[in-house]
Amino acid sequence: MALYEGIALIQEKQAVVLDLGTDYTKFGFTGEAAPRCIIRSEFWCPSERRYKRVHDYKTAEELYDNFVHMLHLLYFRHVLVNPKERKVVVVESLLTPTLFRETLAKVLFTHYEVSGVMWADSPRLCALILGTPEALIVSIGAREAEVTAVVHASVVLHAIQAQPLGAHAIHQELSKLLDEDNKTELKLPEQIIEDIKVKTCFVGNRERAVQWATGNPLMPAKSVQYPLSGRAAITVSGRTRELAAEPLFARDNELASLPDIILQCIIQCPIDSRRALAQNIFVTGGTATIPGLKARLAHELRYLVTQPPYCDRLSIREFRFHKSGAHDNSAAWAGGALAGAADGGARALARDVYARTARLRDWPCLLDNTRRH
Amino acid sequence: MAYLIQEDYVKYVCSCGQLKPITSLYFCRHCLKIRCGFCICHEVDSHYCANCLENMPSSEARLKKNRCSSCFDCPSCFHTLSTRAMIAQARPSAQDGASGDTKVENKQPKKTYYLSCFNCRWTSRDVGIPDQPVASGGWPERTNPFANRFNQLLDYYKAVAQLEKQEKLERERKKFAIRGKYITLTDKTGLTGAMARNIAGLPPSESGSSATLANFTPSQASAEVEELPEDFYTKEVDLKQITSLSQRLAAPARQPARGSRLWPLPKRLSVKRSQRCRACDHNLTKPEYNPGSIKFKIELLAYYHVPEVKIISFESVKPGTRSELLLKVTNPTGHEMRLRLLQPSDVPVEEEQPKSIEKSLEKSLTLEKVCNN
Ligand SMILES: [Zn+2]
Ligand SMILES: [Zn+2]
Ligand SMILES: [Zn+2]
Ligand SMILES: [Zn+2]
Repeated sequence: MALYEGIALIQEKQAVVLDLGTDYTKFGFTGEAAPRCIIRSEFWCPSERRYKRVHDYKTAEELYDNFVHMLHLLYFRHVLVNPKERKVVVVESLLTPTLFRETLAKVLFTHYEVSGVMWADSPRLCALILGTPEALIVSIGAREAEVTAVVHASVVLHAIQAQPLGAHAIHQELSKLLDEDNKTELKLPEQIIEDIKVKTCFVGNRERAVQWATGNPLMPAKSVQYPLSGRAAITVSGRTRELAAEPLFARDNELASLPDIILQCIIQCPIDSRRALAQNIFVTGGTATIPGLKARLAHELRYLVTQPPYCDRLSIREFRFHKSGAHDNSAAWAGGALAGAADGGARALARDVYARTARLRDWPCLLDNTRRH
Repeated sequence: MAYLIQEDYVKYVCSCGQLKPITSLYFCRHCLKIRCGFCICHEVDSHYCANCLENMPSSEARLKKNRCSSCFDCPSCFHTLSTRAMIAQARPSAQDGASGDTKVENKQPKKTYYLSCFNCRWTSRDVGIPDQPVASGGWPERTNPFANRFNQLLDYYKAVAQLEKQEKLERERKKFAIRGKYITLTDKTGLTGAMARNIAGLPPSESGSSATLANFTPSQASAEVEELPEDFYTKEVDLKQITSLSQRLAAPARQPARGSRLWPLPKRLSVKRSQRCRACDHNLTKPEYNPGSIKFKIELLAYYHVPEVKIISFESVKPGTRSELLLKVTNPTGHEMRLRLLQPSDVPVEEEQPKSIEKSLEKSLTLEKVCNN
């Protein structure tokens, strides 16, 4: 038996792991600690003569074409292997639209003829790289921040929180603040805004944020002259640098700021797991790389939990945070690389099964989430 | 007709229904059908380095992670780095004191090499990489800071998967044992292999995996979160010292945030692709193996088989009047060809391709079944 297994292992091609994010796509092999490439989720569209984003689509057909082009780019320019007869681990959010994942399945199985696809949700994969039984995954991506509780390898589905508090919210705020700094409408392209964010922005501590809000700030950080090609350099003031990421923490009556949704997620979890969750918080996602963001989040949580409405409903006062075992932007990907390598893709949806049923299991679908008698 | 930079005015209907210019169409000699890049199967044919034009066998390419071992890209601007030689200057002050023999050595000028970018002037000396005594290779490599932890996790989850598999086997064995229909060797003796080893006082056969299970430590959460350094509020920002996102993502394993941590990027290999008809599995194109050659061994382009249509002149169409359209049709083959002009209403509706993709899937599935049986 061991002999046969050995042969099977040799014949089994190393699977690939695909994390198709809104802004950036992570792609590489299972069993490797880092993706082979992290590239923008866009491809050159020759008919429209522009770069086209995979996530920009109006119809299922357009999305199908987008996937075909993007995967071609990934397979033949970056990882350089044949897609055919090779398994794929797809890292996805639990809130991925049905059309998106079903179209992706169609492209992978029928167009690229992959032998199997393992669908894995990013919160559980993030929990995998921690190895703790409970984990509260705070994933701050391009479009949304998602807070998901994972308890003993199961997601607490009714407690999932998501708000549009991602990189795009920061970019919007940053471009508004830059216009104020330079007193003109700059209309900078998204990529430059992103570059300014990466190079200059940070998240100040709580006291400073409160002082900014009340209008009597301390010394602002140093301002930066950011050179632009073909234009005059623009000023990025210290205020802009510090406040660009502030929308993530902005509270209003909706209680929809980042620390708010974390606490709400904990409140909605079973009472016996709340303490463990609060002590196993894992902040990840590309946007979590902004200097100071994690520290600020910790301070905000510790403060907010003493305030109504949380102080009456949560007796937790201690929050603990995990240091990541992977780079923030590829933590979920690394989890996928682990999951795919550990069981050799045994959990993958095989192509012949897909061909017979032509559907995917999905948690909101009654076919999959009702108990059979 | 196809133009290099202008729009494609004449488009051909591929058998999959897509409209493409003739330059991006193929003609399968075996199915006698037009095929396009969308409806054929792409395959990796050979790996090569586009800079040194060196072929690399795919097994070696896999080992080297699809990177050339002698060519490097600039980590700052992604241009190809060139190796530059330097005659080492005898430094009397440092060497005189070191030993008396240096004077003898100094008689032969020693050549050392470093990497330099002609485009942005980045050199390997900028980041403190010592010059190398040989021109090719030997450049020190940087590794992923998370690789160790990742491998620990990988071993752990492999052990878990192994354990699960064993338990499953055990359960199945028990199920059969209750039925009493199948008697295996271990059933006769009432022992499982593991129990037998246990009784005999031998260490369990999978001691390696159980040790991994026992020794594994989950990630430890801490209340301390890395605070933003206090000097962030006062320090000048040197944009040149902070890497851009694309510079970070070019090395997904390390993602250096400071310019001083940039490291030469081994050049990514390219592939030659061969293309295959999905319906009959015959090659449509197959490139020559030699990386320097841009010729093909097999090249079934539509251009060689399908008449080319050019628009010579046209009149703008007005309602109720005849307009003239002058077409030039070229027969690329040496054989006679019959041409029929059809009214739009007479064009036969072809519904071949969408099915044929599924058919090819079905075909490969039946193939799979045949193989399995
Ligand atoms: Zn076609
Ligand atoms: Zn090379
Ligand atoms: Zn350069
Ligand atoms: Zn054919």
